[in-house]
Amino acid sequence: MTRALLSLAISVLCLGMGLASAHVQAENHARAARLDALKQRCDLLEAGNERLHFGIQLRLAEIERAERLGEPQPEEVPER
Amino acid sequence: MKKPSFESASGLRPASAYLMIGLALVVVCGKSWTLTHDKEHTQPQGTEREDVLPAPDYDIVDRGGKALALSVQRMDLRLSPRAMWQAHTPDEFTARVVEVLAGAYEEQELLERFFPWAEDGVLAVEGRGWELDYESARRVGDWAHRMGIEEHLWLVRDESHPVWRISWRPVELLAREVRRAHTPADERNAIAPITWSRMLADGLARARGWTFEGQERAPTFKQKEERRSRVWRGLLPCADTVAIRGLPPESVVSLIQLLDGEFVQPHQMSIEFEHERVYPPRTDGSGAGTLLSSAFRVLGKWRYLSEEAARARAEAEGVPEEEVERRTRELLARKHPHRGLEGVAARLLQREDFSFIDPRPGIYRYRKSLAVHQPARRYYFGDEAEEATPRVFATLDSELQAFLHGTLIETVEEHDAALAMAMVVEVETGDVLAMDGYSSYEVAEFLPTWHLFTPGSTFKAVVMATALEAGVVHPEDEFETYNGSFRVPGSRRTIGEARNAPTGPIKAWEAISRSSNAVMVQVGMRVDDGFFYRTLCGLGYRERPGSGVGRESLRPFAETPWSPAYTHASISFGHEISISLWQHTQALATILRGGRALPLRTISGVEWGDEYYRLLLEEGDQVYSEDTCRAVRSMLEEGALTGTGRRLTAREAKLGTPIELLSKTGTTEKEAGVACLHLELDRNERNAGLEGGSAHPDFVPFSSLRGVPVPHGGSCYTSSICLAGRVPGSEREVMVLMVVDEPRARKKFGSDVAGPPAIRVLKEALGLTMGGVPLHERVAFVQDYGYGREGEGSDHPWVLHDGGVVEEERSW
Repeated sequence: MTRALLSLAISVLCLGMGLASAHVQAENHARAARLDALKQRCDLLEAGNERLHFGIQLRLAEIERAERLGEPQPEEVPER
Repeated sequence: MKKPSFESASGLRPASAYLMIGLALVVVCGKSWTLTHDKEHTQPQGTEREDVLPAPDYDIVDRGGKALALSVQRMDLRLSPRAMWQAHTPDEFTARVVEVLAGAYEEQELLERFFPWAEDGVLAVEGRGWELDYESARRVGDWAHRMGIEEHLWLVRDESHPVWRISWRPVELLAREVRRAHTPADERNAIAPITWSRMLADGLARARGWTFEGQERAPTFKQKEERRSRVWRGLLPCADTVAIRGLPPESVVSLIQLLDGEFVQPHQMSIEFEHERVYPPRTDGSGAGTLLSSAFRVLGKWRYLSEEAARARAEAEGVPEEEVERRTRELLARKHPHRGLEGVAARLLQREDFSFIDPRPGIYRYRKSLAVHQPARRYYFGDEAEEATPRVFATLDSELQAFLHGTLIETVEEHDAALAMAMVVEVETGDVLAMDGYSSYEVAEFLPTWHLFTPGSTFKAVVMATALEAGVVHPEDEFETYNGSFRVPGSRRTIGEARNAPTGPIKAWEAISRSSNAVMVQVGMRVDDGFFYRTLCGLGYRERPGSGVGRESLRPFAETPWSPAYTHASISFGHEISISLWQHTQALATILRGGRALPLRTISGVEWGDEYYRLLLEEGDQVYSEDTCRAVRSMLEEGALTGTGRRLTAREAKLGTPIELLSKTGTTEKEAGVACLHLELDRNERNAGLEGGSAHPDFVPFSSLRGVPVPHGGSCYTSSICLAGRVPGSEREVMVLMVVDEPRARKKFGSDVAGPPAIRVLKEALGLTMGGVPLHERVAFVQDYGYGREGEGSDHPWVLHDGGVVEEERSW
């Protein structure tokens, strides 16, 4: 009985380890795929933010210039 | 009762069996460990990928930290029309994109971009295999009729040959309504776009006669797909296009969501980004071209290299021979800095002493899975962020540059001049604060380095300094002016004078302040021509300055020995010598500085990460002694007080401007026979657009300008002024050299034509005015919003509102 239990335990352990390994690996792949998608999206957002930042810089420079030269402030840019 | 024992067949005891299994497990684990960590025995990895993004370039900022040139990421919408529209419905998808882009584009405009090869929405199917004979055309026509799509796909007969071609309207044929008509009656939804695309491709291929008849086995999936691809290559020939360059950044997230929600695959449509060079001072908020765009031509630009230039550069980089081709392709694929400050900054960073500034590019590592019949998948593995972008500090003051440009335009318009150009420099360091040229004609080159002019009287300061340095003249020496009819000894040449020139005997110093040609010729001719020649060479008049900001012209003055009555006499009052504004500014700044010749510079340092690397000033040769320069400075000061610049000084005194001035004006009458600059620039403008250059029948040769009468009557003049000034109590001195070539209006004299705009620019550079308005009047308008921008300090950090002066400080 003890031997059978021990054998069963080893078998279950091996099977469990195999399943766990497969699960971890599959999960890692899924996470890596998600991370890849997130990375791409982050890159795009970063690029978008950079562009927006540049636009804001331009706008500030324009306001400042108008202010320096005593000219009327530029018109508001309509919100998208 | 004794338990029945179990006899092992192998004779092993159970414990031994467990031990064996355990050992086997240990061996397996050990081997696994080895395979994982032993690099020599690792499995080959064909799936690892590494994307190395372009290394960050550099930003250029002005002396106050304001951005002049940046690399900003631009997002483009790229698509493969062939892949995209087989799987998606054009009109519906386009309507959603229009919605996401918040009206930035009209639907029709986007559709045109999504089908770039269509004309009025019609695509003509061309190429090999699509010229149909009568039989094929009939079959295709029958097929279209049977399908009920003859309104959207039809045949057009060639006018000259019995050949038919297919034309179709993709937006209509791929629309949902047409698909619905071919959907089985029991289906609620219209068939999927991809199913419809396959139906069209299969039907058209069969009608075209591309069948699998004669093949023993049924066609495989791959064979069917190849045949469909062949059809779609004909129907939608464009496989790659950038539909939108520069997506509105605020729409990107929504667009990503749309692409995800519509299950658009990256090979069908994707958002891509690349570095784009932008110039904030050239742009206003509306993005429209303005005055500012031309004010900052000095920034230069980036451009693609020619194949020869790319190959030469690749070879010059010393890459191995087998790598030259690859490197050449890399160089051809992107733009490179070209001329202007862009070129100067790029060359600075390529210098050996700056080679340590080599920012690491961003790296993205991933594994790519290419499973059979599955779209490729990417798995994140790691990434490294790119290093900080170096910031190159230009010496320019962007506000002053814009002001200078506006002033030059006004000057050209007011005096109907051919061109006007000016440079503003810090005397002590040779830092260029602003430089520009403007012409009413189209001139592609950068005038301060390209246009050569005869300096005339502004050159007298150089001549006097040289004579003083040679010890042949003392400022108090007295000379006869000959009342405007000085005959050069040993010749018949008579030197003329400008109106209001001094008469009777005058002192040497008065020859500068009151600008006497006759006296300056006498002064200059006392100097040995060899010494004169060497001094002028030391000042940089006989070589290209190597500014890097634009194409540099050079017309070297005569070699020695000089003809005493002509070359020597002429050079002594600033004639028979053609120089660029850059050269002259550099030389005059040398005199004002105390005789140390420093090259003018446009870049003061580089900031990278937390460090700032200041460019050290060169030692510079001592061309003149300090005593000599002090004497010349006194003469220029006298010129501003009592000489040709007195009216400018008087006006500023009346206005109460706190400024100490030095001035030397110049009014050069061009010699007879010299082509009028108006005619020359007009001729250049006409020739510029001609294909084939001088071979074009409309090309106007320069020789045709000789002898042509001056269109504006009278003589041609070059009016110029050199003004140096400082705020009382300050050590900081700024010099402005302005040249107005061939004014056609009433005024001709340097003090009248170039003087007023030059002093406006000088006051702006010294911070005494802001936008041309005195500072005390402007301060009341300036409002503090309480925000500061990173890296941006005051535009004139040395100016206090109460008119006091502080040393410029940087915070790093």
